[in-house]
Amino acid sequence: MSVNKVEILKRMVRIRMVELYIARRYPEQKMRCPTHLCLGQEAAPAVCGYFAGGDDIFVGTCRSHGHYLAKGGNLTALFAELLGSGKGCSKGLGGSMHLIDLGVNFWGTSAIVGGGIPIAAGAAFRLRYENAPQIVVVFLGDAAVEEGVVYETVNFALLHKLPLVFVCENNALAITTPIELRQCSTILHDRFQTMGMNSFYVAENDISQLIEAIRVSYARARTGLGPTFIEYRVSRWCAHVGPAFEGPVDLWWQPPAASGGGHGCPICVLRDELIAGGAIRLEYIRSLRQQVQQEIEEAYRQAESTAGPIGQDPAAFVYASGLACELPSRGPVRGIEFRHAEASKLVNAF
Amino acid sequence: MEMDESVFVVGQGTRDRGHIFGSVEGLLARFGPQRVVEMPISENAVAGICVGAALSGLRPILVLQRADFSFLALDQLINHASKFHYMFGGQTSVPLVVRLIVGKGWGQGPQHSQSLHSMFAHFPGLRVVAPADPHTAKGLLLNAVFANDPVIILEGRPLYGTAQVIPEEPYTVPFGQARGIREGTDITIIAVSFVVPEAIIAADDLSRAGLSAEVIDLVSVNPLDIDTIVTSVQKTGRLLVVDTSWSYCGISAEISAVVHEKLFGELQSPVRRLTIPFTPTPTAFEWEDRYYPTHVQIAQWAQEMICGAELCPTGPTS
Repeated sequence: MSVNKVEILKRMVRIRMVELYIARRYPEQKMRCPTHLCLGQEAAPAVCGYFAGGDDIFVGTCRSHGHYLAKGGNLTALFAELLGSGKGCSKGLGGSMHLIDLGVNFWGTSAIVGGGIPIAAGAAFRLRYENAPQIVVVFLGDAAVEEGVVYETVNFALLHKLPLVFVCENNALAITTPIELRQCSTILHDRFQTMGMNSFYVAENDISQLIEAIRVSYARARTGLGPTFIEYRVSRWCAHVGPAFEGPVDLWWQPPAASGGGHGCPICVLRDELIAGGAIRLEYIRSLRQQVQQEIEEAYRQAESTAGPIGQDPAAFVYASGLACELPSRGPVRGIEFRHAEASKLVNAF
Repeated sequence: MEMDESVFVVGQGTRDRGHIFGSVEGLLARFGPQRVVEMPISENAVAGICVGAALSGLRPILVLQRADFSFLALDQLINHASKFHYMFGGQTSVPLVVRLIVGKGWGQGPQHSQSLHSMFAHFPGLRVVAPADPHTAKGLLLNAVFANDPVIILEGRPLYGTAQVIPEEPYTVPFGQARGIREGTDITIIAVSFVVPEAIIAADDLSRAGLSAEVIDLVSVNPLDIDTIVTSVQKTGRLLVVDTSWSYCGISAEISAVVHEKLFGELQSPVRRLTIPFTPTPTAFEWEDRYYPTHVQIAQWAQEMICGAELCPTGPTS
């Protein structure tokens, strides 16, 4: 199967540019929620999104703008959510840390480290229950591997051979605390091998190896071979939370000489590979930048125009059903209701 | 489980000959291992897996053999299950039932006998019930299974021996309804879970002394059936709350607050709360025996509230 790396580059660029745009407008104080950017960490979402079908499910973390966008999550609804608008993807009740777009099977994110992991396994349990062909991808950071629930979930996922892919983006930081102060080993994936887990270690910016790891993991999950754990080393170029960033964040569209040879920027690494291989030229990058910038500005304008909190009292969302519940009539059971058509449309929209 | 294939049970001991105190007996043979899932001792992950399964449209019933074990699952139950519907703007729901069995007696001790309904009732997004009779237990369980919200059911282990003729066909009992057990005019006694039978005996004792106690089984801890409580106390002018959890920040405090807020000028005496003492559960037989409210204490307290400590006639409890 040939991999369209240009498409992967486009996805990375889009995530980078959205995050930069948020970082620049955040000080206006219209986006008023803890916002965790993924600058420098665009590759895993982009590749995971590239290989995922519309019916596959993603579950994210507090740092999931990239995962949301990679799955095809609506950009305007993301901005609107950050702006606290009732038109946001969570109606303004979640903010940056609680993103959802069920239309593309992006099932939500948790602001509790490790919180989404067993939930993703539960979604995978349902797929296994139905012998459905879909898979679930759950994102986590290195700090989540300090939570007991990860080991509990890995055990369950292996026991039940769940169609689940753990994608651990190891940026070696918990807020600002380096991994050396937190973990007995700075390599994470191999500890799960003793439990029987198939795992991959991908070095920073080894995009080809990342592509291979994700491709193989998805295929394993789809064919009933169970879960895989991928550890991918990354650098976070921004503050844990908020708009501050450093590093070669915005040099990727400059000529390679001006961008200092990339200096660890995953976009530069892939760009240089694609230029060297003749797949694209620098002009392509520049026109891509222009095109994405237009999309972002238009989406933000739209999101701003919807500003204002949800009109309905949010107390209405505490409970899904009333005090008295109806017994079902005996009969066939609901099947999985994935949003096939809608999902594939959105994934391909960009 | 027959009515809806999306319902499944997860618990520890589903294959054990005790079948979780008989509560899952026969299910494995009938519905298979896919719908009667034996859990690893990983309460938090399993709770989260239930949340994820519930988000997917399944209706999990998670059973923990002791309510105390639920502390290990609180991240998923409180941070996730109770909030997903709200924090994603009503787009997702978590139809999850958590059955928590509360131990009592035979030296269950500090970590096998905690009644946690008050704690769970603190969190919006959960429904919390503690049935005390078979009819209510069956109706509430079915209501919980087919609700689209996470529901915590506290099951008092001592109540498992209660016998009652109930309809064989399925029926539901709604959340938020207290159960009036007997009518009275001098005092209202509200009891929770396995102290309900004690309250009923106490009311019998009181009636022999010529005192008329109204007995209410609270049943629903969140939401509270404020109407039933207020209507009753308006009539009797007195309220004694008897609870299996601690009084401090407990549901008895909440009930007392609500009654004082609504009926301040109409009370004949301040609300009183008879609960377990503010200590962990002792294991030693003699101490454990004294730990839980008894019908003798309930009758004594009620009598004092009605007659005043000095004026009590030769009591039913002397």
